[in-house]
Amino acid sequence: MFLAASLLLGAALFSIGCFGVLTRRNAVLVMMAVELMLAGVLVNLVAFSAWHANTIGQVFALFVVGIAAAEVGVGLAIVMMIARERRSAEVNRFEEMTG
Amino acid sequence: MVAQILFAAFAAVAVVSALRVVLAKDAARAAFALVLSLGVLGPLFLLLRAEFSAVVQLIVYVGAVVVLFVFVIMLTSNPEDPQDAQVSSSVKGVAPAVLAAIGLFAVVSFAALDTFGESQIGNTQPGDLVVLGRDLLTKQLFAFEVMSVLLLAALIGALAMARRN
Repeated sequence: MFLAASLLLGAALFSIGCFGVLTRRNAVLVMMAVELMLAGVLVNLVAFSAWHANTIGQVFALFVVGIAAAEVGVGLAIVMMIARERRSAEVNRFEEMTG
Repeated sequence: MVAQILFAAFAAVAVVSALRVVLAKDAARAAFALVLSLGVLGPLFLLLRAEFSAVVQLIVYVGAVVVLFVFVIMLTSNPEDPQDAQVSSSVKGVAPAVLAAIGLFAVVSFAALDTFGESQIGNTQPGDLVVLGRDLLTKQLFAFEVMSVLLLAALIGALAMARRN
């Protein structure tokens, strides 16, 4: 019973995070929504690890957490530098690289 | 029975807090909702017999990553622009995102329930910390070392970028 419920929870967290990435205008809040998506993935991994009665899912989850931490560190450094230059972290204004 | 009630409660708190993260009017409120949403996954992992993942989630994810977010919100929030944190207010902007999110959830949950709807998580322990530690240092050693190098590279990169020169 827990497996189906965990998969549904992972899917819900992932889609809520997806909605947040698509609608938020502040770059920091977009990154928070990405963290929600990664949390959904973590729930899936841990649930399958329990289902297989194997630790490989938890090892994978550990790596996902490590990569999320590295990504947040570098990403927030970038956002802070941009916000320092332009006094705003709104993603609609980051348009130098568009056609 | 108690475990199922607890699981439902934790899952409900996680989903409601996640909705508050993406819909909050304020960056600080979104950050605290993120703390709650990620933090309640820790006890939920305990229900799935993943003690190591529960503690890693609370220490690394909630204790470091979300704290980073709070710091950056403190440093980049712009008091002149209070609209900064809001969801784009036009229906034209939000409707495709809502449809995409609902569609994604529908597809993934249908696939999950179709395949795993009747599967049960058994009573065998997935393996305790000893097994996990041994796995990390023998079978998954390459990924472990690569992740260490990745974290070092991220650290150096963030430091190099954030210096005021």
